[in-house]
Amino acid sequence: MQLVIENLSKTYPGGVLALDDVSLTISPGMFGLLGPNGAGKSTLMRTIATLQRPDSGSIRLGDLDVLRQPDEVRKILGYLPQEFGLYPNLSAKVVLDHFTTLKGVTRSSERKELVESLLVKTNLWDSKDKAVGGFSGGMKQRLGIAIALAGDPKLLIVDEPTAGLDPTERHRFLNLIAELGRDIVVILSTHIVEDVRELCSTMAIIHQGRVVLEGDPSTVLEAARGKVWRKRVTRDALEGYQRDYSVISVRLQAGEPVIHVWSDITPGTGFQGVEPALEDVYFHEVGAAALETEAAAAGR
Amino acid sequence: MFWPILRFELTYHFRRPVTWLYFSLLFLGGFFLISSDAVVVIGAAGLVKRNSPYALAQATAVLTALGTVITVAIVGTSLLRDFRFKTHELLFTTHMSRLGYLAGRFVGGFLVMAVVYAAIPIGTFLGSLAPWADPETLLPPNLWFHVQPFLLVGVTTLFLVSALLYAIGALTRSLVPVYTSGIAILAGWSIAGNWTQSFDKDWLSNAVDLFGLISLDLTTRYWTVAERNSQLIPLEGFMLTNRMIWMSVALLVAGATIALFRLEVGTNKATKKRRRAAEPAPAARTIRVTPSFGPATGARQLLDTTLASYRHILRDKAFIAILLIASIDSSMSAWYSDQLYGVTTWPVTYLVAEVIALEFFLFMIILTTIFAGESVWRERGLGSDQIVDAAPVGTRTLVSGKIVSVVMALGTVFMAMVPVGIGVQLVKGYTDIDVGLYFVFLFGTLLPWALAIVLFSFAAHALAQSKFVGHMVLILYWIGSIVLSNLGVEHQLAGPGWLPSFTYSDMNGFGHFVSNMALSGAYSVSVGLMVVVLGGLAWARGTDVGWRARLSTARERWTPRMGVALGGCALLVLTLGGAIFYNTNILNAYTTSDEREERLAEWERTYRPFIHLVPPRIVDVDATVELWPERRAYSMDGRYVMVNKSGAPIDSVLVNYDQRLVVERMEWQASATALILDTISGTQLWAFDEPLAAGDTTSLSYRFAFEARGFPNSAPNNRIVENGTFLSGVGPSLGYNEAFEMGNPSDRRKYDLPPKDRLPDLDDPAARNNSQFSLDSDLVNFGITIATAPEQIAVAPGYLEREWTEGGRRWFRYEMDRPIANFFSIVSADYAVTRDRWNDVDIAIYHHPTHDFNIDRMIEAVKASLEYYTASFGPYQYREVRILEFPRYSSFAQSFSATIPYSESIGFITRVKDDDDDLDMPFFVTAHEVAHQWWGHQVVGARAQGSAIMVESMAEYAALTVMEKRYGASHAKKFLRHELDRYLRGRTAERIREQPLIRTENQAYIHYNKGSLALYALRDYIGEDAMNRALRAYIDDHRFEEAPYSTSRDFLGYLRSETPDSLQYLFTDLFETITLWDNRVEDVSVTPTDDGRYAVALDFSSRKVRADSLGNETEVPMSDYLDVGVFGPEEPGNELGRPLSLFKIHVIEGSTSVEIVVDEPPVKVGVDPYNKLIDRVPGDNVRDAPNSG
Repeated sequence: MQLVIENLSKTYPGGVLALDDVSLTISPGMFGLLGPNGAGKSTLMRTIATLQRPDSGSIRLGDLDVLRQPDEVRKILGYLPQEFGLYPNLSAKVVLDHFTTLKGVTRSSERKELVESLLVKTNLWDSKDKAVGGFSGGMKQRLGIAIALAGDPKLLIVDEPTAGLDPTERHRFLNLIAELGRDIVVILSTHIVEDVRELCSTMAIIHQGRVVLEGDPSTVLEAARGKVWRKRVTRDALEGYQRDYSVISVRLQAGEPVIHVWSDITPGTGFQGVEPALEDVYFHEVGAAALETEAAAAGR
Repeated sequence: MFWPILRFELTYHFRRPVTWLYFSLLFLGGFFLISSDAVVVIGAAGLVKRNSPYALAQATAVLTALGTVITVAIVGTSLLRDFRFKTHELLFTTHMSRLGYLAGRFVGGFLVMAVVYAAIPIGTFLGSLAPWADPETLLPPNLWFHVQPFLLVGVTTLFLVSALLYAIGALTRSLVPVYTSGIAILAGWSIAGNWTQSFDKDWLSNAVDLFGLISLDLTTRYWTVAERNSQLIPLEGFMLTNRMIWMSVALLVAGATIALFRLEVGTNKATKKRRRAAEPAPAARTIRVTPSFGPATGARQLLDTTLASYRHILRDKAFIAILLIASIDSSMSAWYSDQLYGVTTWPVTYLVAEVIALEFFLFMIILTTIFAGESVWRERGLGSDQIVDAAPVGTRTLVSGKIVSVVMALGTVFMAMVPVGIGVQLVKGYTDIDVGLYFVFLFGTLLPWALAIVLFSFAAHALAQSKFVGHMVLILYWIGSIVLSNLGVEHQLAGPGWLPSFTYSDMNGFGHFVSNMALSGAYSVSVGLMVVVLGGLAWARGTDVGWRARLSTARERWTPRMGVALGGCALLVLTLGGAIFYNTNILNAYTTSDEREERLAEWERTYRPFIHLVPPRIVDVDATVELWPERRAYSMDGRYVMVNKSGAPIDSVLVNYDQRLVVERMEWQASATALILDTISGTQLWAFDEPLAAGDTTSLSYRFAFEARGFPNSAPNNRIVENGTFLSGVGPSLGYNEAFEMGNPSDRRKYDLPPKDRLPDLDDPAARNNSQFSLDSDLVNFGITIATAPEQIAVAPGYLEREWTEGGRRWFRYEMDRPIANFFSIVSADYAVTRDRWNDVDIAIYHHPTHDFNIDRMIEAVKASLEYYTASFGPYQYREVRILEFPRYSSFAQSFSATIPYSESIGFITRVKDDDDDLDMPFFVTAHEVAHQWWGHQVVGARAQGSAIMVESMAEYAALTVMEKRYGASHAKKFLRHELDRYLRGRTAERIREQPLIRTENQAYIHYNKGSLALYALRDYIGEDAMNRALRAYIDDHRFEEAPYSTSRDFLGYLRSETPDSLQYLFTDLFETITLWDNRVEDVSVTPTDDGRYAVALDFSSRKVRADSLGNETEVPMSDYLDVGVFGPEEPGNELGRPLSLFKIHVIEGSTSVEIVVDEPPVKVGVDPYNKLIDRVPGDNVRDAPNSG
């Protein structure tokens, strides 16, 4: 089953262009969506998840017209929004049971087993009887994941799922969906570039509502080979480099700026070629503006 | 740091539109309170002007109290804002001081509230200038009258409430306690007020009143009209104490807040969790499930959605808090449901259930409004909306589940109310509990409206863009429906969700109210269903809640099935609405109260010119009345014999009848032509072809029919009902009767009618031509035949001549063997009868089988009354006394010849627990009605000012005397204290002018309350023997007289002739003028004498004033005789104690000293200790004697 997105556009009432003629074809497997804050990732995912309508364009999932048959799509959908809350005075088990029922698992024996297995898988078993209101950010996130996984979805959309998880939980989660990703379409948005490289068979970067790059991570990296250069510079000279070169990142190492530059040829003395990381491609694609916003976001 | 925070707070609030919305609401409230009839003016009644200082103080205090809701939103949440926006961690880490932060936020919030509240005086002041306001109801504008109450009760209350809510917000850092304490303040105030009132301790009621409303009432309760219109509420006495108490509380709370608040980030509360043995985790495995989506899944999803939402509501702290407050309030109300008209009754089930249901109605509106909103917006608020909306569950399922959950939550609350009511009944020692009736009241009468309100609320919230807008829409709906009904839109179709009024009666059950209740409830629900279907179309699913997106979704949801559903609802609305309309407008004539007033005005304009037509006088009344209680129908076939007693030929006669009746026959014996047949007002004008010569006799034969058809929009005819029919005044009456004219002066101005006198002048000789009872008869011969349902007994005045069964009906024939007033009633019900005898007089009590609580007391009262009245006033004219219970649609007892219909609510369920402490009201009311057999049925005055003395004052006085003989003087004192209170309060609400007793014009507070006080005092001065000699002489001279009738002046003449010269001044003071005394104990000292006795030195001051008709007082010299007394210890039922010495002394105005020597230790000392004289401060007449050691 393929997810085919064609010419999707959406402008918000305030005039913000959230999606600008987006077309993507996504096959079963893990699909990573990268992009800075406000790029349109969440709008795209909500639109696929039947929660929002585009101004134009179409989305097809196998035989289903997602925009026309939202009820049918929901029957095979698992969705985890970027930000969410749950009924604070109900226990995790009750909440999960409730959503599992909503997802059409109505036989109670079957539901009980499913709920228990999901609680175990998301490492919430010991907290299953606690009120959700007392959960930490990570526990809540895991419960959200359990809800998204309930009901055997054929299309799983997870928006920034690893935010707030500690490294152990992050791995547990990534393994969980990697297991699923063999048979079904999994769309994962993140700003952790590493997640995508580790897991995804295909990826796209969107920026300002447009798909600026699409492909599988290894091909993308292959294409960038020989184009990323590194140099240690002085603080005073930094401004000059930024003016003269296509600087994709600036890092401080022991108080001295180290810059990465994108260039098809050797940029000059002192630059040394480096093995491109997906991050370099990302920064190259989304440009310096994103760099700043990312930095601000990271500092929060 | 104080100033920047204050400045920020002010800027923040003044930039928010909602602040100005609150301002506008209060402004409009104040404005329309003064300028419009659509809003009921608090405190302005009768002659008290809308913008009088008194009315403005009341209005300000009430609006301020209601504004607690706004204070919650502005001040209560001002600190919480920082926590909610998560700015507290940023703020607390700056170098801002704790005091500066707390004070800045608080003072800022308080100042904003003060500005918002300034809308009240601004609104009322501009309202008083509105060009359309009736100038007769306004004083010349005086800005200070508006500002002073704002400062006195507005700003102070505001400060207090702000401090309380701010403290709760600051210390709990959570919204729920703030909101619930807002509600708790309002409910707590009402509960504390009710509760303390039952102790009858003014200082206690005053102390617990944080809004100052009780203080206002205590300060002004006896203020006259003139005082209410001119005097500002002074900051002294009750008001000063009250404000001091609560301002200290406010300061304490503020201090505590500063002391306890910490600039720290709150730690999470340790979760209290039951420790449970850890369940071992099952092995992780992947479960493959196949979701299925059929109707069964839909049903399961609905159930789960419902239960989840239901559980969520039940665990909501706000729900629990409101429920708790509602239960406390309902149990308080249930606890006091047995207090009726100042008398304790048995807590019969319907009283308790009704009070709980009615009390709960307001809470129900609050609960549904809040929780419908909460349910609609819950997922959005929590942030789980995207998960739910992306789930494979139908929108209809989601919405229906939420609706059902709110209804279930309400049902749960109803269920909780049943044990509350039963508990109250049991605690009060009443065990005849009708559990089913609780369910009928709560689920039968309340639930349909609850359901309708839930549906409206859901529709409003589904259509709204935010929870705030949804709540505003609903609040506007409720305000709008109140304003609408005040503007004259009264049709029940216009207000789905309006609860039609109904009265349950033990005798008649829900009776004829059932069909209206059922239809109206079903109609409201069907309208609710229709709007909720429409609301469901616009239900926002997904993240795009803009109108454009929702409209396009709605278009997609508009399937043929939806069309059918909506069409079905519309059809239901039309069918049920049509059925209601058929009842209210086709089967019954629909009129608004404005139309009825207009018709009354039109009737007066049309027929007043015929006032000079003196009718022939009826001398003989006979009728056959067939009652069909089963279908609420009756017919009356009657005949009047009339004699022209006017001394001049009569050429035409005006005939009036109840316009609800159908005239089937109206035939004169003499040939006559109908000139006017007006079925709208029920008036006919007949002209005799040959004028009826003076002294000639003629007769009128008529047949009326009435059948209740369906139900009318307004109150139904409660006189003919399935069980408990009570008809009176059903025959036609002759001549133009001024008593039917519009009485309220402001209504008369509205319809351009000239001012009218309530009664002819006392000294108008023409007034003597008619008695108080009738314009068309003196005494008549009377006979009546009644048919009724086979299981019922029908009773009318007269002796039962025959009883038989014919055509399946039970027939009765009653005849009087002597002429009676043309004034009779017909009563029919399924009765139990208790009989007794006093000498030759048969006593019978016809009562509802289960209402046997007070039958013995009534019989005892009848006997005691017959005994005393026969001895004092002369023989009883009948061989029977009957008391007949009728349903509680009215709550009075009325004395017809030998026959006394008596409402089920005033004597039959009254509970006299303790003969020492409780006034025996069944005894008193019975004695009062029996007294009317003399005072009313043997003697009656002219239809002129003052004649009510001979009927109502005398009945009240006679009953008081009988009660005093039975229960002792302490009971009489207690009773007189109530009479004094009611008189002093009654005169403050006078609509035209207060009259002295001798000229009372149907003014109940004068002829009942002041009448019994004055006559009791007179008896006390001249002695019982002299009093009875005078009364008996009056009766002997005027018994069964016909025109010309006697007046109050004649009556008082008899009393004067038995009064010594030294006491003649009493007639001026008690009867001919409005006189008040101000007696006060100034000092008491006690010295033991050498012979072991006690010398009591009493200093007191005295003052006597005359009031004009508005209550302007002028001091007059005194040369009066006053009681002084010394009393022993308190006795059961006698707070004042046994008098050790009690005598009258001569007193002039100013200070008086007197020394009294008594044998026993004095406990209390006083001047006019029994409050026989009218004194606006009765409480300072007695003082405790100092311990003499």
